[in-house]
Amino acid sequence: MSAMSDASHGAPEHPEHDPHLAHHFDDAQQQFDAAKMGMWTFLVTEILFFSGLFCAYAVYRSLYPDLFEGAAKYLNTTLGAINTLVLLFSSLTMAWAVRCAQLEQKKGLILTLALTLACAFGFLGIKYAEYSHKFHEGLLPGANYSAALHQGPEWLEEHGVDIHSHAPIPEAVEQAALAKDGRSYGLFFGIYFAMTGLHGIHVLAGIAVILFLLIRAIQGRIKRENSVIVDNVGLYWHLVDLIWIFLFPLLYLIN
Amino acid sequence: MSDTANKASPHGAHDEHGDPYAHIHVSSWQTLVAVFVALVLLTSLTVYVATYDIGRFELAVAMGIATIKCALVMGFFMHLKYDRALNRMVFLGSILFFTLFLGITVIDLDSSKPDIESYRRENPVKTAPATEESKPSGEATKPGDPKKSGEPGQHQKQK
Repeated sequence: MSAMSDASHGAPEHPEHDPHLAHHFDDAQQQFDAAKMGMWTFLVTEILFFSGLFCAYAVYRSLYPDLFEGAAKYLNTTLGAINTLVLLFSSLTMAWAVRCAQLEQKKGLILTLALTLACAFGFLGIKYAEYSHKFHEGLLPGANYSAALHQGPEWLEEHGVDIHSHAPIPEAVEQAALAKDGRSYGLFFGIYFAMTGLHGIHVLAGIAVILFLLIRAIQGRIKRENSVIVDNVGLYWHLVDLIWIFLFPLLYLIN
Repeated sequence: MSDTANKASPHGAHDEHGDPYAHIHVSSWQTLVAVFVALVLLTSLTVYVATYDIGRFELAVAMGIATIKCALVMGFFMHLKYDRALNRMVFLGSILFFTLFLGITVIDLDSSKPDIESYRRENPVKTAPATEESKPSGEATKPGDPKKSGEPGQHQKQK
């Protein structure tokens, strides 16, 4: 509300003051644009935050191309692809939730937010399965990498070890769990856990804010006037999806 | 596709206080579903392409497909196609600095490649240091390991 409208009403209080419009904004449009620009500025800092890890990835992949190629074979492409689809679907439901909020479709908003939340948990569930598998296999960062010691009988038989004898694993077999030049895949798994871990933390934060929106939606407190809050959470959630869109081919699809 | 949420405010009705509603672009659900289908198809494409050995173009193709997916998500899901030019500029600014960061690092790396290669020739990797040293990690013989415990391969881990 501008000073001019104060004068014309002749009262310091605004009788028609819109509770959704903060005093320091001229109108709803300005408030909306400011909120969106603030969110985009935050997303920019997020992109630059992740860029450090992408840069580390680029440097090490260019230094050790064979190591990345060999190590990526330990990742489960099917689970990675399923997780990509889960996140893409959650992006669809999130974008739909924004539409529902703008059109004040309360039931649709609750449904789409709940679906988004379910997908977020699904993503983390699959990630948990992948992580625990890697912990058991010794596919760990840096010096903790110990894949040859953790391999199952099939793998050992494949590499010519008689699994019924108690003889030690031949050195040649231990080497089979290393890169061609004898380097450990620990470097790759360091990068893998750092990138997917930071992404996973972002998914957790996304769950928190979507849950907050869901509660607000159930309480009927999300109206067209304040739907920008859904819009901004949506922007954040799509960014989480975007990061994964790049992580998936970079980590899982190295041939 | 380009309908707005301005259902209740004909212009002029509120000209003293400004429009009570912001002009918001509402995406049609058909657009959203179409974008989702395109994203799924592109994901299938990138997985399919990865099963073939296409040599050094592999990374470029994978990143190209990811960039197209990224553009679809940003343009439609994130409304950037319909958003203020300022927000597009803010986003492109981050891409600019990301490119600078990565580009300068890669140039630096490239210029030190000869040094790296000569270092590698002088210091070849001898054995398997990681597997030798990290053996007593304890994780291998955890009793709770459902897959491994009790299997014959287990005994060989004690070398």
